[in-house]
Amino acid sequence: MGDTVSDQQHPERSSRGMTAEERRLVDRSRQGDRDAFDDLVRLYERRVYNFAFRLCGNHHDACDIASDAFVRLYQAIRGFRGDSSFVTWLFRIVTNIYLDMRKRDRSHRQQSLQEMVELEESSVARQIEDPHPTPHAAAQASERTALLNSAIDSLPEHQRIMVVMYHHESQSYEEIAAALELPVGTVKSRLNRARLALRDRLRAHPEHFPSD
Amino acid sequence: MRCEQSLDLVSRYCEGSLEGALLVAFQNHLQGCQECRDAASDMRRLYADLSTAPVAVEPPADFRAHVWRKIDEASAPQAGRRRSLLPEWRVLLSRRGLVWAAAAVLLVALWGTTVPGTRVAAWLGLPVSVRSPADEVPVVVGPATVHGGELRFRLTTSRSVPVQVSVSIAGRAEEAVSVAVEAGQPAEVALPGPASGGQVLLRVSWEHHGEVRSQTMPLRVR
Repeated sequence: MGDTVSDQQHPERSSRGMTAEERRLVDRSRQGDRDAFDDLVRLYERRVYNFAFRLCGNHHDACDIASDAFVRLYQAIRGFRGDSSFVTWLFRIVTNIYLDMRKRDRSHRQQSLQEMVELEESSVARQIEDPHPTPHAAAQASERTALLNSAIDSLPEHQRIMVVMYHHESQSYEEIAAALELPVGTVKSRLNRARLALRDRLRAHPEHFPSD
Repeated sequence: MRCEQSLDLVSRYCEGSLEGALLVAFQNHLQGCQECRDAASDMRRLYADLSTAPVAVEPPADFRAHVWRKIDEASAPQAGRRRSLLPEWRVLLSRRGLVWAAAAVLLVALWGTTVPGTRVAAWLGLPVSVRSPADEVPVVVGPATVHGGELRFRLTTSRSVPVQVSVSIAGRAEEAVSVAVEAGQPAEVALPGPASGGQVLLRVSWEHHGEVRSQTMPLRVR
């Protein structure tokens, strides 16, 4: 009664692991080699920054979260024994720093990428680094993307983190469970609830998300 | 199988991890339940929508340097930190300290160096700062107005640089102008604006170390 989606979407999940080069950098960083740690940051900065950006929705906080994550990684890497995968550990650090930030600043309101800043007769939306599509193509896609982002932003904190990790960062259920220190079954059921909630929110916009 | 159970299984069904008797029961339920059939169909589309990777963002150009600054600060000897120019917490928590802290926070907000600050500045009618993601060329835009069919705003940059500004309005060819912006000197920009309210896309491009950087900002015009 329909195609499944998992195999097409995450064909490499089961084989994800560290390359020999990554393992070498981690080992050298554990021994205090700053050059190796610098290479490790270079290797993961884009991924960590993008994950942080998708959690918080703005460059300023993303920079703080991502840089704090690498500081914490530097301080803790000597104790990394490889019990969990390095990436899972790094994602757990990023998630914890993000949740700490949210706890510290409960008044912080989640800001969508498309949120408008009122400005006299006009209003300026928050910046989007978007070097590829033409402005016209971006205009056509932006409203649909904005609705999807807004629906994701409206989810409870842990559900939102899971949606970003699974669907945007291609983490497996097991990796998410390890990063969030939750049973795999809990991650699966929360993600299912999150998707159903997203579906309900998007159904309110049939012009952009039509049903059969 | 009841609808509630069926909805609990819908992700597993879409991912193909539902097997055996449970799969048969689920499929039987779907055959007799339009609502759950719709849910399964919507869910497959949602997976497709979510699998479209969002536009990747780039960390600031000096991100690693920033990380190392923080690492070195964090590992500086405690005694060294005591001698820092920062006031002690006791001073900050005194009444006078709190007044100065509040004034400093307000100043930062009014200068629009952060996004929330931008909102405060905009609310007060002050120029609005939109930082480039890499911070290498802070481009200031504001205040934007539409008069007589013209969209007007000001740009300033931290260094003299040619800036290309274009505006895209639905149903119209993209209009672009080149502006030579002197460091710290606001340059007036006027582009054909929308005939009525709606959204236009403003793109600001500049060159940085031989590489073209750009920012795209939707402007909602009332």
